[in-house]
Amino acid sequence: MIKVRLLRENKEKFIEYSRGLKIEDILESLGYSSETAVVKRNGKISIEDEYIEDNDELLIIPVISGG
Amino acid sequence: MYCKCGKKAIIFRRYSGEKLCERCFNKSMVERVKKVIRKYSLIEKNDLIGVGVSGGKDSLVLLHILKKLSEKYPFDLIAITIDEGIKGYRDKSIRLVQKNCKSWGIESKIYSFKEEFGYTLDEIVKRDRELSPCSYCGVFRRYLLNKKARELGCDKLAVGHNLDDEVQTILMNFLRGDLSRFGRTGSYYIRLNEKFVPRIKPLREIPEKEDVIYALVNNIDVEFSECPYAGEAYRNNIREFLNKMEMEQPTTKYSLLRSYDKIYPLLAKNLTKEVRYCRNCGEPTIGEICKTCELLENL
Ligand SMILES: [Zn+2]
Ligand SMILES: [Zn+2]
Repeated sequence: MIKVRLLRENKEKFIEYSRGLKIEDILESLGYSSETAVVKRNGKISIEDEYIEDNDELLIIPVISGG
Repeated sequence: MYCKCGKKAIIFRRYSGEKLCERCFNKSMVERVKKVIRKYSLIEKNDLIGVGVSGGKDSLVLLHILKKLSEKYPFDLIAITIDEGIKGYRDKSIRLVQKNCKSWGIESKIYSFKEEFGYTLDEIVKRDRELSPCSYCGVFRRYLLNKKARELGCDKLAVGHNLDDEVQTILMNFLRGDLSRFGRTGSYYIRLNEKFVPRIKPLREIPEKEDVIYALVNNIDVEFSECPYAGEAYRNNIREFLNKMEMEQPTTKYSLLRSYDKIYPLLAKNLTKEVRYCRNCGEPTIGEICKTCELLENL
């Protein structure tokens, strides 16, 4: 299971792990893209085409904010 | 993916193909800002730079990078913050501005709509339900930033607009046929009048996403929530469109900026209008009465 925390929505989601899943796939399924979000994977800023491992924790930080 | 230095990369710049680790990314951000400042002579020797700081990521990242540069080059900084009076939002970000300025050793000045104009933005919104809050906010903020920067003796006013902000504005002005606003998005500044402090945008070639990453990497405490006055719907549509195009063609935003930069010098000459002084408040304006006084009269 992958735990995803969405900062903007202030929500937590659980996503079933499957082999070959990339960060960008998760972003897409949540309505984000590499243009609109920065992802921390297990606390570290990560590139979108990294593969996810089971039990990973992702934090989705929206690019639009502040001003 | 790995950085050219061998460490694990934290960013892949699709528009250039670079993969950078934390350290190389940081260095590259400062270098890029320095390059823009040099290329367009945005800062001169012994300048006092007023930095418009809201507490959001862009303006705090700008202040952080300018602070680094001011340690190596001869210019000074002062942070100018406008308190629009947005309860539960701006009060939080103002505390962040004060906290960061204190730890970076930068003088911070705060001026409020309430004190200057008699109303907070929250009060304005209650009085006028026709115009959008953003139309008041934008006009008042620009007016106050300019006035205070001038009174503080600033040579330039630096604002945190990033690449995304700039290309959105450029496309919006094109699509609306609003050429009169074109002068505001230029790469270099034009000194229109001694009472207008030249505005500079050292982050205009930095993608918004990289501002977020820079803030995270440098542990800059920024306000990540959004203004409750949701912003302009039109701009939001343009942002979505540009992000979609950038996903398909990862140089879209830069190409748009470059095209505009080539047109700008041709346009700029024809856009410089005669500047007069507002009959009411004495601030520089194009018309008889400035936009701020006009809006205030209607309240
Ligand atoms: Zn590196
Ligand atoms: Zn006036």
